[in-house]
Amino acid sequence: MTSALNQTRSPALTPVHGSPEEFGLEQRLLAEAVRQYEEGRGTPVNEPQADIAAREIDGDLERRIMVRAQSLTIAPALTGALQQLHHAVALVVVVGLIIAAVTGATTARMTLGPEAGGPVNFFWVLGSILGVQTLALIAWLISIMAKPGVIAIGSLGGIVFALGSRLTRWLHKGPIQIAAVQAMGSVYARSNIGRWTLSAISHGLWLAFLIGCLLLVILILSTKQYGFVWETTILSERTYISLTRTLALVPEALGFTTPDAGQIAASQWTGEGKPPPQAGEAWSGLLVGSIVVYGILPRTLLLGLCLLGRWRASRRFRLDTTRPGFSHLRSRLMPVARPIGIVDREPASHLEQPDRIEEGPLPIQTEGPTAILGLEIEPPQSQWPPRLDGPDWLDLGFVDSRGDRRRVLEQINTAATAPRMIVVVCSLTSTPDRGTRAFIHDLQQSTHIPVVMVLTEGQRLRSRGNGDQLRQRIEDWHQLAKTAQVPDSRVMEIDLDHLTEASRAKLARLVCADARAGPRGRHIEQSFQVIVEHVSRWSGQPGVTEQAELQRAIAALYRAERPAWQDLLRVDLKESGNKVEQLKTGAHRMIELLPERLRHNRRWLAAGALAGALGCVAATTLVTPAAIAALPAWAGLGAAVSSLVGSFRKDEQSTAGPTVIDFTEAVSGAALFALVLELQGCDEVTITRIIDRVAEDEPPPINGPDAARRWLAGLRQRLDLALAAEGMA
Amino acid sequence: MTLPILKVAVVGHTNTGKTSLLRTLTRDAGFGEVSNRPATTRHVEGTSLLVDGRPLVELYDTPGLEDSIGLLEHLDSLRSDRHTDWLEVLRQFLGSPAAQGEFEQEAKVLRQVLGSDIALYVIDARERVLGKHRDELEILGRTAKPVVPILNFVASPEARTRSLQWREHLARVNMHAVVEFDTVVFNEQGELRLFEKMQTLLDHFHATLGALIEDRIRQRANLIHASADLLADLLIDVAAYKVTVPIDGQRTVEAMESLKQAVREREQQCVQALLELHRFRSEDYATEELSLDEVEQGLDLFNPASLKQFGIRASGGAAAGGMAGLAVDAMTGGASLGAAAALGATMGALLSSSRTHGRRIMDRMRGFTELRVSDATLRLLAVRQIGLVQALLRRGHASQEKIRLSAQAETGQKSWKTGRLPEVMGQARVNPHWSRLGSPHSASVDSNAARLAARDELTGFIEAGLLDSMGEAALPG
Repeated sequence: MTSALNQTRSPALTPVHGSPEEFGLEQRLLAEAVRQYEEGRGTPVNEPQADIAAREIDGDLERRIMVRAQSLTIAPALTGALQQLHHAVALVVVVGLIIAAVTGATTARMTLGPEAGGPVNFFWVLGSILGVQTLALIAWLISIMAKPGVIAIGSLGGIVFALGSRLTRWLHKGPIQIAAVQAMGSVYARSNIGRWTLSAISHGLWLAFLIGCLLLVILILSTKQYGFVWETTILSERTYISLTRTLALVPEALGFTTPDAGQIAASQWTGEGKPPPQAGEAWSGLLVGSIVVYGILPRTLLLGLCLLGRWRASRRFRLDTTRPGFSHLRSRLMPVARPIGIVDREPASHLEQPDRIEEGPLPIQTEGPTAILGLEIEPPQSQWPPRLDGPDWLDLGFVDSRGDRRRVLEQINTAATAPRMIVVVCSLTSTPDRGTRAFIHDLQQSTHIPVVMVLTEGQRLRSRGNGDQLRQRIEDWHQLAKTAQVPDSRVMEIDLDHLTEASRAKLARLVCADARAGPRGRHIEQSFQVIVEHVSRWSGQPGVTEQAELQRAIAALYRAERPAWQDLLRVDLKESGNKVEQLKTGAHRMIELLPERLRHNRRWLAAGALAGALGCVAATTLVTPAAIAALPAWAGLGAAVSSLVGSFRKDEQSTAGPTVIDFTEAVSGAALFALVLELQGCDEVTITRIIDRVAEDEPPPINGPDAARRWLAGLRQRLDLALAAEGMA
Repeated sequence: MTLPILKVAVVGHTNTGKTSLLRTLTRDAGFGEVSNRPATTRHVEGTSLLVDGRPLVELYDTPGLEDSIGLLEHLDSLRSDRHTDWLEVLRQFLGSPAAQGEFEQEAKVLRQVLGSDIALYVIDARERVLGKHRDELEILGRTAKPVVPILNFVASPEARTRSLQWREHLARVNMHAVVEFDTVVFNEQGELRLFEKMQTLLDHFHATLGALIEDRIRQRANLIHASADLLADLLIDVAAYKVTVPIDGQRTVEAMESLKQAVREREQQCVQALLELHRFRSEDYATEELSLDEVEQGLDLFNPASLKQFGIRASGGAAAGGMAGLAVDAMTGGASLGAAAALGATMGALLSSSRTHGRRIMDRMRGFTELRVSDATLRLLAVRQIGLVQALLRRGHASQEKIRLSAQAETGQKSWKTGRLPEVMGQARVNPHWSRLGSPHSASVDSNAARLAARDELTGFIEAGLLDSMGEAALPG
C-alpha cells in the first residue's frame, strides 16, 4: 500500500527529467518545439499535470517552461522528431562530406591534367585547388565580421541545413515534425548557435574537399611524373621568384621541400625544353605543403573555433520568455501566490439558522411618546426627528459609541412616560453586523418596548452601485432584524434624506397607529365603528340575520368598489340558482384567503366561513333596502349557515343553537370581512400575507362591545403597520 | 540567502474588502469568497506571496470584527486591575469561553493578529469613522503589533472627504503610515507604497519586502511588454493579411466574409491571450462579438458605426455593405500599379526575387484582385485592444464587474486614432507572408527575421504608448 502510494506520488514530487543542472540546449529545443506546436495549433496544450509538475520546482519561468514541456504527453514525440531532424541533418552532412571529398579529388585530377609528363603550370594548379575555397573563406570572414545577418543563407551550411529540414519534412509529414523543424530554425535564427553550427558545417565540407584534393594530389604525384613550370607574359622573373619564396616560407618551416631560387628560375616555361627533374620534387612539396598550410590548417582551426563557439552559444542560450507563446505561461506556471488554505475554521454552530421568531401581533401600547434614535447614521439633511403630524417624539439623538448606547438606555428607563415604541433609524450604507444586532436586541429586551427599524440612506447606497446591491442590503437588514427579534412588519425602508409626502405618510402610518384613514379613503375605521355599533345593539349572541345585516352595513361602505370585491369573493348575483351552494362557495373562498396558520384554528375557520357565506348574502342584497329576514330568497338561511359553519368547525356538538352565532366568531368574522373588503384590489397573496400579520393565532374571547372595541383597535394598529410594511400606506 | 517569511494578518470591519485586498495582492480572482454581504468570510484563510516560486510573505484573511464595542467592553471587564498588561488580558480572553461563543469571530481575528508580524487594517473609506471603528482600532492597539491602515474604495467619489476624516482619526491614534489602495481600481503605485510602508514598520523584514517590491516592479514591466508584444503580433498578422480573389461577384463576397471572420477570430484569440496573461478569467470579459444586436450597435470590427464610436475617421468615406472595413488593391487593365503598396511590392519583387512578390504581380496580370483590411479598421483594432490592455492594467483582481471595451479616449490611443500609422505597418502591408492568417504553416511565420524585427519595433511603439497612458513608470528611474 505504502509503496504503491510512493510510486504514484514520486513523479509529481520530483520531476522525471532529473535535476535542474541537466537543462541544456536539448530541453530548450524541446520547449521551443512545444511553443511552435502550440502556435501552429492555435491553442495552447492544456495538461494540468504538466503545469503542476512545473509549479512544483523552484526556479525561474524558463526552467518551469522546460519542465512543463518535458511533462507534456507530446514531449516524447517531439523529442523523437527533433532527433530525426538531427539525424537527417547529420545524414546530409555525411553525404555532403563524401560529395565534397569526391569533388576535391576530381578537382585535383582535373587541374593536374589527364596527361602525365607534360609541363604543368604550378600556379594554375594551386589557384584551382585553393582559389575558390579562399574566396569562400574571405566571404565567410566578412559575413562573420559584418555580423548580425544571423544565418548566411547562401552558405554551404545553410544549404545543408535547408536540405536536412526538407528531408525531414518530406519523410515525415505532420504537425510534430513541422514544429520540430520550426523550433530548430527559430533557435538557430535567434542565437549564435545557428551561425556557429552552419559555419562549422561549411568548414567541415571545405575541409573534406581539401582533404580529397590532397589525397588525390599525393596519389597522382606519387604515381606519375609531372614537370611543374611557370610562365608569364608581363611579369619579371624576380617577381616570380620572390612570390614563390614567400609562398614557400611557411610550408618550408613545417618541413616540406620547396624549390630554391635557382630551381624556380630554371622552371620558367618558355614554350620548349624540359623543367629540371629535381625541381619537380620540390614543386610537389610546395604544392602539398600549400594545400595543407593554406587550406587544411586554417579550415581545421576554424572548424575547431566554430565548434567551440557553438558549444559556448549552446550553453548561453536561453528561451525568450517574453515571446507571447511563452509569456502566457507565466500566469500558469509562475503563480504570484500559493494558497496556504484555511487555518482557523469556522465553527459548525455558526452554520445554524438564526433564532426563529414569532411573527405575531405586536403588543404596542397606545399611550406614550414615540422614541427615536439614529444608529450610526449621519444626521439626515431633513429635520431631525422627521417632522410628522402624529407622533409626540422622544428624541434620543444619534447613537454611535459605547457611551451613546448607555445613555440611550438610561434615557428610556428614566423617561417620565415610557415610550410606546422605539424607532431605530439605521443606515443602508453600512453593512449590518453583530454589534448592531446586539444593541437592537438588548434595547428591545431590556426595555420591553417594541423596536421599529427605519432603514435610511438608501439613495446613497444606490448611487454606489446597482439596484441589486440595495435589494440585497435591505434583505440583510431584515435578516438582522429577525435575529434581533424585530419582525419584518416593523422594518421599513424610508430615506430620511429624501422625504417625500408619500414616504412621510408611510412613516406616519408606521409610528402613529392612531393616524386617521389613509389617503385612498379607506373605510376600515368606519367598518370597525359599524361593528362596534352593531355589537352594542345585540342582546347576547347574535343570530344569522343580525350578522348578515352587520356585514351588509360593512359592504355598504364599500359600495363603490363592489364589482371588485364581488369578484374577489366569487359572488353570484343571479337571483336564481342554488343558494346553499352559493353560500358554500363564499365560505370556501374566504377560507382560501386565510393564511395557513389560521386555517388550523377552528374559531378562525368558523369566522371565515361566516364572513364568506354572509358576505355573499350582503353583496346580493346590497341593492335592496329591505331587511334580509324579509327577503324570500334567503329563507332558511339560518339553518344553512349553521350547518355550514358547523361543518367547517368539525364540531357537531356546537353549543350554539341553529340560528345563533358565537359572539367572538361573529365579531372576528365581521372584522375579517371588513379586512378583505379593505384590501380588495391587492392580489390574493398579499391579502393573505397581511391577514397573517394582523391576526392572532386565535381570536381572544370577546363578550361585549368594549372587548370588541379593544380588540378591533389592536387589529387596526397592526393593519397599519402591515400596510406600511407592504408599502401600501 | 534565505529571507525571513513575513506573516501578515488582514483585519477590518465586516464587508470592508479584506478578501478583496488579498485577491488583488495575489492576482487571484478566485481567492476566498467575496460578496457585498456581511460576514462572507468566517474562517481564517492564508496564502503566500511568491517570488520566483519561493514564499516570502504569508497573508491571512480573517473574518470581520463585527462587535468591537461589545468586545472592548468585555475586555475592559476582564482587566481586574489597571496595571495588568493588555496582552495578558487578551490571552486570558482567548482562553475564555467567550472566545468560543459570543466573540468567536473576533477571537479568531485577535489570535491571528497575535500570531502575525503586522496587521493590515482595511477601511471602507466611504464610511464615516464610527464608534465601532474607533473601538476596533483600540483593540488592535492592545495587541502591540504594528498596524497599517488601508483605505479601500478610495476611487469612489464619496471617499474624498471621508478619507480625510479617517486620516485625521488615525493620526489621533498614532497611526500615520496610512495607505490608499483601491482593491477594485488597481493602482500599481498604491501597491508598492503599501509594501514600502510595511517596510518602514518592519526592520527585520526589510530585505523580504524589498525583494517583493522588486519582483512586483519587474512583473509589471514584463506584463506591459508582453501585452504590447501580443498586440504587435496581432496587428502585423492583420495588416499583412491579404486574400487574392478573382474578380467575380460571388467569390469575392465569399472571400470578404472569410477574411472578416478570420480577422475577428484572430482578435478574439488575442483577447484570450491577454486575459490569461493578466490572470483574469474569460468570464470577466463581456464578449461583444456574439450578439447580433450589439453588432448592429456598432461593436463589430467591420461596422462603419464602430469607427465613429471610437472616433476614427475613415478616409475616403467608409464603404458600405460587405466592403465595409476592407480595402481593395484593384488594378485597371494591368498597367496601373498606382498604389504605393503595389509599387513597393514590385520593387520588393525585383529586389528580393521572392516568389511571393512575383506571384502577386502575376496575379494582377491575370485579373485577380487583392482584399485586405482597411487602415481605418486596423486603427479600430489597435484602439480597442490597447483599451483592453489599459482596462486590464487598471483592474483589481477583486473586481466583480465585467470588462467592457469602452470607446472613451485614452491618451495612449491618440496616435492610433488620428496620427500616422507606424512605418512597420506599411511594411507589413507589402509582406503578406508575415501574416499567420491564411498561412498553411502559421508557426513558421514567427521565425521570419524581418517580421521579428518589425514586431519588436511595433512592440516598442505600443509599449511606449501604454507606459505613457498609464501615467506611471513601469520601472522607477
